Amino acid sequence: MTDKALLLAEALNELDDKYLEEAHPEARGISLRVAQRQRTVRQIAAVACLCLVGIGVAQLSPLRDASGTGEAAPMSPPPSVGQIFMDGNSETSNSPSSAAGLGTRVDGAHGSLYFADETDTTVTVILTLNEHVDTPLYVYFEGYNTVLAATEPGVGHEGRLQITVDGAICTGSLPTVAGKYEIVIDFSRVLTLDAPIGQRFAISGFPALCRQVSCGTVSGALTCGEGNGTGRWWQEGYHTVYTEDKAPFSEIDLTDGQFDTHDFDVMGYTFRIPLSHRPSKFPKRLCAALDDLTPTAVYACFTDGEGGVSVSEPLPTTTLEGKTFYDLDLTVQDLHAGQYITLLFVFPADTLKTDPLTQLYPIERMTVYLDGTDKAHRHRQQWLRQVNRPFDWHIMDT
Amino acid sequence: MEDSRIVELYWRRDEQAIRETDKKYGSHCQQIARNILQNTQDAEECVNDTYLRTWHSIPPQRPTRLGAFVSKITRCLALDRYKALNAEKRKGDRFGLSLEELSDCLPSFEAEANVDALVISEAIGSFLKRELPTARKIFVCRYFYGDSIEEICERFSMTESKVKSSLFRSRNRLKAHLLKEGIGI
Repeated sequence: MTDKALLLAEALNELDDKYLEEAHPEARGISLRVAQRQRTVRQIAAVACLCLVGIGVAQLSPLRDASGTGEAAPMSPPPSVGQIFMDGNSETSNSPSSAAGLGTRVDGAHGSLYFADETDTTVTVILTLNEHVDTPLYVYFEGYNTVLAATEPGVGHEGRLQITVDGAICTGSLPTVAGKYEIVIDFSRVLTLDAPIGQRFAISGFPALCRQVSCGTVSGALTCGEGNGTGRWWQEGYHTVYTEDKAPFSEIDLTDGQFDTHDFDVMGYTFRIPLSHRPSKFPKRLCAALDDLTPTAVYACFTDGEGGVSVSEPLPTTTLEGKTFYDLDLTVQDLHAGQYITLLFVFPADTLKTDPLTQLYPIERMTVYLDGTDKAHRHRQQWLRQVNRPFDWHIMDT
Repeated sequence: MEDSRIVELYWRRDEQAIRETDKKYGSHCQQIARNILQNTQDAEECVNDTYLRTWHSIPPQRPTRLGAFVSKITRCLALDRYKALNAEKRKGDRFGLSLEELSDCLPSFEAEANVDALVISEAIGSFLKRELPTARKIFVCRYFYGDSIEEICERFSMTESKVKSSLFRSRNRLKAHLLKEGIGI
């Protein structure tokens, strides 16, 4: 190795700690596996919200009809949700406003919000309220799982943010009167909490302005899960069933909570193709049905490994043994090992909330069919042993 | 255990601090040392040296990010050990190759002879600040931690070609940035 390379090697040793932690979560004492799962589930949750907004624009009326009659209305022609990217590199397909740069500006129902400046410990944004807002806005910083700091006293957090509005210190909520405001948020106190910061900054009532990922635009406040995750790995309502590597999927994240969008209820089940799998071993087809619920539509989300997530058209249905299965043909997907596939079951608003059973929809009430081969059958046996809990898993009779 | 509590143990000169550091960051440090030295035994010795160096550094220092702190010490010690090895023996090894890749960003060997590592480091820091997160993470994994392309692919669930092309583009941008900063010709 040349001296030039050694000089660079030494220079790199002076890199900022935050870059080291960002690249290797192990430097924060977090295992890679957990970090990867957190990242993926966050992405899927965000995409679920985004895709629902897309669905909502196209299909709000049919869903409301379904809610009113108590019957699941047939879906109108599939909306073209298309590719939704989470990486700042990429375009956000449903972002109506990208004039100030992707991930730097969003327009909400009440006005606009964009980044003006940032330092190591502060972020300056310009908030324009077109009209008086009834609900006070507040600011928060979010870590991987928790709200780390907020101006709103009622929000669970570990610290308080110092907010300056037009040069004056603001101790509570943001202004509600129409106008243009310069807001400086000092998060230096959050940095001393010795907790990872996901660099996600949001003003309630507005879509999040993410410096790490471009979230596009989501109108209205969205909450992920109901927080009913006691004893589970994912505090926002997820828990994970681990399976061994040779199984058709290495793990399943169960989204117990819902993405409450006011217009829909959504429940997600995430499958992962093991890293050890070769393409020839990938499952070819996946069908899923719920015992006692009829979703309005089911979509599949695929991660592409770079923060990008694509959302399928509504899945076609098949009837097997009197049940309606939602059929996902995996052969047309460009799958890769480690890929996450999420099935999103969409219901009319309040379907899940009003059903005490489905407040935490049990996995044993879901049936999954996988493509039927001898190999898959062996996998199934291993998988069931490992999961060690009831789960209706069948081999497709093809 | 929280980093702050481990640091507190160091300040109290409690040897439990080393055990807790090993428990929390031992395997991470091992990975860094192994990536550079390509030898498990050397890596283990290097990690032990890391604990000793940490013990002597805290106090007076009080790092807020203990993981990054020990990572840097490990890398520094591994690099020293690496340099002490015979140049021929090092030729073609994985870590060496990764840095050779990067060294092309310094256009002129003569020009950087007078450049301090700290100046380059600051320039790289300002470059990374402007990089997109994914590209930045890949860059740091490859050139700070010495991860192989395959490891990076697995870490970020990306294909090899995408990782390589991300690194290639980052290097080109870094080269342009260093030139702009007056480092190199």
